[in-house]
Amino acid sequence: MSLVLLVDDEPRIGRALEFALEGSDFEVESISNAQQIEAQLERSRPDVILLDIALGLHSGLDVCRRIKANPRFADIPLLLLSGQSDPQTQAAGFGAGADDFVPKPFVPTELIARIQKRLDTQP
Amino acid sequence: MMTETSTSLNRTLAEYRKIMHLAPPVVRKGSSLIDVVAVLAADPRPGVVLVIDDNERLVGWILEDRLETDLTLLVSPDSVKDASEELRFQATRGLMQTAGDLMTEAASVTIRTTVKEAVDRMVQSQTHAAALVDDQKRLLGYVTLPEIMREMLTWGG
Repeated sequence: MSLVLLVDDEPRIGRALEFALEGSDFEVESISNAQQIEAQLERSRPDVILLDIALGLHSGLDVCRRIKANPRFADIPLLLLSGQSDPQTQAAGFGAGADDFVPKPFVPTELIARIQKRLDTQP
Repeated sequence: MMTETSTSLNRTLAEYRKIMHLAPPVVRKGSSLIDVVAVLAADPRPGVVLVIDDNERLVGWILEDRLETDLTLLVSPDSVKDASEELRFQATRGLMQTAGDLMTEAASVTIRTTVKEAVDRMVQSQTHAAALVDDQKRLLGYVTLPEIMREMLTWGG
């Protein structure tokens, strides 16, 4: 069972993710406060991070840069979730160090394939 | 073949979980027409904009067709030659309306709804999509009729 950490301040995204991954080999943990992400990563290191770009007070892109700049967490695959899937937004996400980009709404088949691909390519 | 199709129609949507669209963009009842249009532009596939309340429960939807008339008239009034003054007035008034004013009752399903029930609800609402909710009527996403049909035909059920 692989652990997915969802960082999102909207509870409905967490419910949708749990629905999408039900019956799969993934377990979901969620946090809504991006300030707590490092503490959460120390406490329970996930196999994959799903981070929403729109995080209320915090920019998901800034959080992404912060995680990827930290040598202790930089190797954890990080996928950005966004309702904006235009090329500029995706480019900004990859520029911030994201490993992949998941547009919302997401379809379970594609989401699981993207997460699995990141796990398979991990050293 | 008839028996296979009947069997497929009696299956629940739980079997089509993997092709559902989850975490779609939404508006709240108090959202403006501009917000509604932005959400429709972000994901036009269902042909509707889903409306939720502060508890994230589905309270209705706004049909794309309903918006098209308003927007065409607002953006380019002369493009609709036969639009009556009354219709133009209504469209202009639409700018002041909220999602709560524009919404109608949504066709909704849960994963325990059968394919037949889902199709009936979509046909009744003259759409090709239905909102997917949980047992507390909180919005999860939506399903579309063409994708369910494609899945049934491609994979034999």
